[in-house]
Amino acid sequence: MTAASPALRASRRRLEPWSVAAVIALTAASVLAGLVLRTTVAEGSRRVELDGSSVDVPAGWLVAAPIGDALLSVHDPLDPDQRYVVERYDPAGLALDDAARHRLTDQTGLLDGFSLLEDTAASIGGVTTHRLRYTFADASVTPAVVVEALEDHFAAGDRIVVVRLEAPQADFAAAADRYDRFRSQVASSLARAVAPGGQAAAPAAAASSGIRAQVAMVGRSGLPLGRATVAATTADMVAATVQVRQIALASDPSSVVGWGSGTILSADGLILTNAHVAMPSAAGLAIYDHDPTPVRDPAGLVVAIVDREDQPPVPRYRAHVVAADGYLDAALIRVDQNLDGSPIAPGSLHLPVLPIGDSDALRVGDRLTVVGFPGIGGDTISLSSGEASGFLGDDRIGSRAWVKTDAVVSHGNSGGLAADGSGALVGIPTRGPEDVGGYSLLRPIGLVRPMIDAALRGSGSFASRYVVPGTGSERVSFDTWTNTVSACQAGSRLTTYPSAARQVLALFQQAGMAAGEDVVIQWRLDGKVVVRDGLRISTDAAGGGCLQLSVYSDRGLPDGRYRVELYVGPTLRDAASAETTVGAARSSTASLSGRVVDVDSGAPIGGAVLYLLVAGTDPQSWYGAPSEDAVAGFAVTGADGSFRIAGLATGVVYPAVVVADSYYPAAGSIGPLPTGDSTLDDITLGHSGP
Amino acid sequence: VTDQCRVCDEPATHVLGNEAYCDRHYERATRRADAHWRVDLLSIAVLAAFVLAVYALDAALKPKLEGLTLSAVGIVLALVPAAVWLVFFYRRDRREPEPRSMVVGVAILGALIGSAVVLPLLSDALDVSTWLPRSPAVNLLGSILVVGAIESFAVYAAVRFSVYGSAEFDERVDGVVYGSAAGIGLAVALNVAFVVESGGTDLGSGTIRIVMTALAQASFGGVIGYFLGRHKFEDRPLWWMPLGVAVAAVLNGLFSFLRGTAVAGGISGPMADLGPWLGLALAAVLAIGVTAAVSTLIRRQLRLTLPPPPPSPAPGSV
Repeated sequence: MTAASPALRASRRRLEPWSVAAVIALTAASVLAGLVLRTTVAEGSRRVELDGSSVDVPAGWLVAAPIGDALLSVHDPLDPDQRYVVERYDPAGLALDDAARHRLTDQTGLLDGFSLLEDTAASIGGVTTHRLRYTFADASVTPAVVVEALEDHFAAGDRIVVVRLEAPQADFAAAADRYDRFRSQVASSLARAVAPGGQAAAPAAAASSGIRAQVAMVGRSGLPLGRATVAATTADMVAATVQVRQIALASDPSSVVGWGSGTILSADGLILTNAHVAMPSAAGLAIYDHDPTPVRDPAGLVVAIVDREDQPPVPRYRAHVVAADGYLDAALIRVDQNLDGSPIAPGSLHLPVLPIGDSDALRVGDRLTVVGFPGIGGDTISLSSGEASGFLGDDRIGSRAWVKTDAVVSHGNSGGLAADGSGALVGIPTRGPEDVGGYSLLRPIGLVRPMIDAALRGSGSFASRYVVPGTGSERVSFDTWTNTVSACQAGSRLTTYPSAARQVLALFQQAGMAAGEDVVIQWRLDGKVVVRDGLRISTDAAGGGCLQLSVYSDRGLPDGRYRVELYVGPTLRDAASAETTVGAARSSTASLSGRVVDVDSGAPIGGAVLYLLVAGTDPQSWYGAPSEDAVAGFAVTGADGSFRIAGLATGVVYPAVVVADSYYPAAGSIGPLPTGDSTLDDITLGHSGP
Repeated sequence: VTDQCRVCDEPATHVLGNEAYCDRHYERATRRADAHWRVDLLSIAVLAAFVLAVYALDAALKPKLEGLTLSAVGIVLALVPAAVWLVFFYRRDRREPEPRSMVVGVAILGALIGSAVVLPLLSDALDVSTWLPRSPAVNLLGSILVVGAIESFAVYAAVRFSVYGSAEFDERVDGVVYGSAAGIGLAVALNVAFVVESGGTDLGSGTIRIVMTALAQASFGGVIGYFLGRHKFEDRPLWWMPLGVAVAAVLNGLFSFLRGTAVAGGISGPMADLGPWLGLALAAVLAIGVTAAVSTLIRRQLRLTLPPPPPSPAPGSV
């Protein structure tokens, strides 16, 4: 037996620091390995298919199959407000920038509290995009979440692809970092056949390209455009601008119900104004606005002339409509009677006239003067000035359908005068800034020129070139609600949809329609109009075919009663409608409510998400690679931890997964549910903190 | 034998393994650990009774506690297991008690390191709560590699850089005592953070979590202490202490993993009701098992290193 020698003890004392160092090194190595693991988890991704190619999305996010225009939609299971979306749509002949803005306007129907933050040109790895950034409120959760969205539109062949990030505003910056890679992948895999300058190539659809060709002729055809040889003065502009009053009783010129402005085109009383001022029922106006609400034309029109600039205009004449183009929202009226109804003797009128300018020559930055009776700041004539801020396109009219301006334009300006630097009439103030993000819109005079020329020639009739008149013998009938349609046959016939369904799709059968004829569609949610849309009958669908009408939201449609209405024919009559429900509690369905709480503290967990899965899904493996298609319904808990989910099937056992930030997920099954409301025991989750 | 005692530099009279001891320290180093058993079991039983009492009180009175009151009650509850444990510790080592101030001091050090370093590191810097639940595999690995490693190192550091060098750390079992104290301190820090973070606690299942955490951390601290005790008094290789910290980290991680995935969440039916009790049972089994393992190891170590048939008197029976 030998005891430790002093030498051995000394050597052990020397070794002791190494022991400490070894423990520290082990701990450091372990934590480092943990960090690598964390990065792998946080940055981990899985490949998903995107239109024949593939992109990486965060592992564990829910992937939704393509639906409607949406090619791909993925979202964080913990946070339905954080998602990546790729959509593809038809630019309908519009340039990229216009298409992006139009698209945005169309898509905001279901968004509350929409606010535009950015509207710029951008680039993703060499692909030119039009970038839009905006916020909206997700009111489906309590408290409501402000969601920020960043979307890039870029050309891909004859379509435009939009790739979008949505995230709660508080997390947006962090989410954007990670999103960059996804966005680049989408851009590089989908941006093919990009036309120079990032413009969408002209659509292959014959109908739209034909219209573009037609529009390109405007301004170079017909009579030579008037040129101002002598610059008109401001006084000339004021003198040539009149107020056009709508009256309710033909017998009473003072029964004014509304008014707009107008510009005198000829000394004998031809006045240009808006169709929505002179003839709201003009064919094409409802089609342009997708607004089938019936309107009545005023019983008469009164023209008021400015005698003194500091006094309201004086009603002097009566006028009638000569021609109108509802799609352009332009109308020509002619003064034909004095205020008391007595006819005006031919040749006796000598009204001040303004020369017609060349709107095609307008350039961004050119000075514009707007004159009219805006109705703000008194009834007297008002002049404001600004610049041609840009142009907006339209699928039927072409790229210069509108001139944007920052000049002050309000409702009463409608139909009035927009003059260029030489004082010549170049546009009709038609839409105020509330319609299009801060800019007012002028209708370029060049587009209205054919109508003016026809009227000056004394031609009796004028037909808009932008609207195909209905046949009058249209027949539309509702077929069924469904999820898929193939060759005009519904995949499955549905009557209702579960909570958070992403799409409702109605199938209608139609006959007797002309090619190019318009159908106006209106969607109501619980009685309130949420979406207005329109479609044109294609050449091969003329005479008969089906119409597939859908609304979808990749966030899940709000619960409620959905109704779709179709308006067709020359008068846009209410031809057919259908109604369904999403998630609403009905006698034949079940609903479920409950709470999610912390297992240890009993505290309610807000923002937890309960996923009810399609029967037969294994919740554990679903959580490993979740897909939206296996989700039968979901609910997000409010701040008090409570949730409610309606529109569930009775007698079904739903596999369920509950997730929440910083909690371990829980899996199980719920059901079979009885008809009506059921309340679940508190769902408990364990906190994942140390 | 001409060497000095490895503890006190008195002339050595005994040899244990490769180390020389004086009479006094040889007696201490070879003291039987059997007596600790009953005390450990008793302390676990008292804590279980405490949980039941709070549960019953909660069920009977259904107190409506909110805000600060609830937080205050929660913090008191978080301290109870530590107090119980320390009281029983003092009884356990009655014959040759460690200075109370040092044991309490190590526990406080454990709590301070826990709240000043471990919690900010895990919750804020590493943000474990957001990524651990991603999948069971990630949870298990992350619990061991990150949560377990950092908490184990904290306990190791609380003992190694304080009492380890002192003369009061004079027997192998002392490592277990101080390690457990540091673990209890860490548990107090975790529990107080839990109560404050959730704005109070459910008196029933929250108490279970608190007791569970305390028991578990005490036993993991005991494992580290066992390795530290033998490291100090025996000639162990360089990998000995890293092994000790690693074993504790694995146990710690396993505990978090089981608590998180196996028993915490429940959607409906019996799982939700059973969850907390399963958790308590799990923690108790783990704590008892680990403590028993540590005691067994110490006794076996003594048997192996003690000289064959001692002349007289028999070691450990003085």
